[in-house]
Amino acid sequence: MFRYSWHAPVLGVLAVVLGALVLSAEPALAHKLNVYAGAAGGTITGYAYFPGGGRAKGVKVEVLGPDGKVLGQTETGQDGAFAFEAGFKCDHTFVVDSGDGHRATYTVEADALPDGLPLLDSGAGGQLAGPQGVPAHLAAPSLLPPPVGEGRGEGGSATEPDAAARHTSSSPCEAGFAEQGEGGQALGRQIRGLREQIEGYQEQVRFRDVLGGIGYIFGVAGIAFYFLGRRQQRRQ
Amino acid sequence: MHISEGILPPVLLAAGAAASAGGIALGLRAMDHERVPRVALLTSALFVASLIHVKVGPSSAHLVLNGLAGLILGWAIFPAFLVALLLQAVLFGFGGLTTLGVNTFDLALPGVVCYYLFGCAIRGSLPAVAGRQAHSSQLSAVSSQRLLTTHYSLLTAHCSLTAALYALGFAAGAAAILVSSLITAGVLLAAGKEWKTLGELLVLAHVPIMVIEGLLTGSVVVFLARVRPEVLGAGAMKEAAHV
Repeated sequence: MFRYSWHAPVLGVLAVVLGALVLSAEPALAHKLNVYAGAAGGTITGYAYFPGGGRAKGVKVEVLGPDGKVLGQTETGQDGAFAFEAGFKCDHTFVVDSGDGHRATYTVEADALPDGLPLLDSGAGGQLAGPQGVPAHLAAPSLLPPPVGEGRGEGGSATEPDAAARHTSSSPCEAGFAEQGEGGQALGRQIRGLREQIEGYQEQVRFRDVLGGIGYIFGVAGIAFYFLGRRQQRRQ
Repeated sequence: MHISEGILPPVLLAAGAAASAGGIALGLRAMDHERVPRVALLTSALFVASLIHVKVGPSSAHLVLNGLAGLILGWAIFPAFLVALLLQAVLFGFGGLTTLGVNTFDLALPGVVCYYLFGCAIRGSLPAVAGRQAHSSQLSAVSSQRLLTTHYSLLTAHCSLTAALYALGFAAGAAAILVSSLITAGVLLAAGKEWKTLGELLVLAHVPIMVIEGLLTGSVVVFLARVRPEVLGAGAMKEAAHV
């Protein structure tokens, strides 16, 4: 029949397009940028990446102190990695901006840096920007994957450049190990690998998130029906 | 095309939110009982589409489906994108909550543009499709030999109508992505970004997406015109009745 022979090619094209999409579906996400950093001794190394795979090459990295002051600047290499020599023992916030509307931040706490570094002279302590130490828009919670086991975050952990009153965190362990010779350095590397893996898992889009989102959408549709029904009732 | 938090100045964020609020109000007014499930279905599609990535060359971008959603939803694409982007921000961390207004505007407005620019022509040709459909099912009762010889002209007319519908759908799907990337680039330009990076990473990177969404939208439009023309046209009639 003409009618059905006509449907077949359209469905075929659709199937081919969708099939090609699924096959070419790359895990590299262009709509989200992330940055990870960790300290080994006085050097902070890290990388900018797209969650799920792929590194951000040649992207500008700005390093901010706890009060939002620019400490320095660097750029990611071909593998998306960057290194920054810490001059002070203070929180370092790494801001990565790819220039096309994507941006990510990550804070390496002062604890992770060796004790030998000078404290950052931040002038009057009361001048610091806020409880976060960095301007609020830099510390957008949805952009910062909550670093596992670290005291970073809501509780004003970044206000004091002085590390004395800090919670235990995994970063100092890394730094500590780094100072303890060969075996310690190997352990530090392993811990770093684990932390990277945890961050990776946290950034993955999971099937249950997708299903949950669709569930929310239909829930919202239900609410819309409720209001439409009320509007109709009132009219009658 | 999800602009992250902390990039745009508050003025642009507020402007985007205000523009989106206007679109959302218009979209909600156009909604009725019959449209709600359709809006919900397309919202789900928009929400999931951003997970489908296409990697061509060094660039990688994701589907948006705003052309298709615009053709089917009209102004209701605004509330659809608001919900889809809110959930993407909360569940996936794409975009952000403060940039929700700007992102909704960037993606939904081109859909509305397509609704008026290409949707009118598509809706106009729906009766012709329905007429041909009735005619060709009559003809299929006749021997195929006669159909090919005496009604060859009818067949070619039918094919050209299909081709026209496909072309309109393709144009809508591709144009929506192009306009979206240009609006996003414009917003970022206003925020002080460099045009060179924007052109490369935003506009050029979306060329493969334009082609794919064009093919997809064209296929869906042709399919809907044959099988469920009211999905493409019913909204327009409703609105006409309201006005």
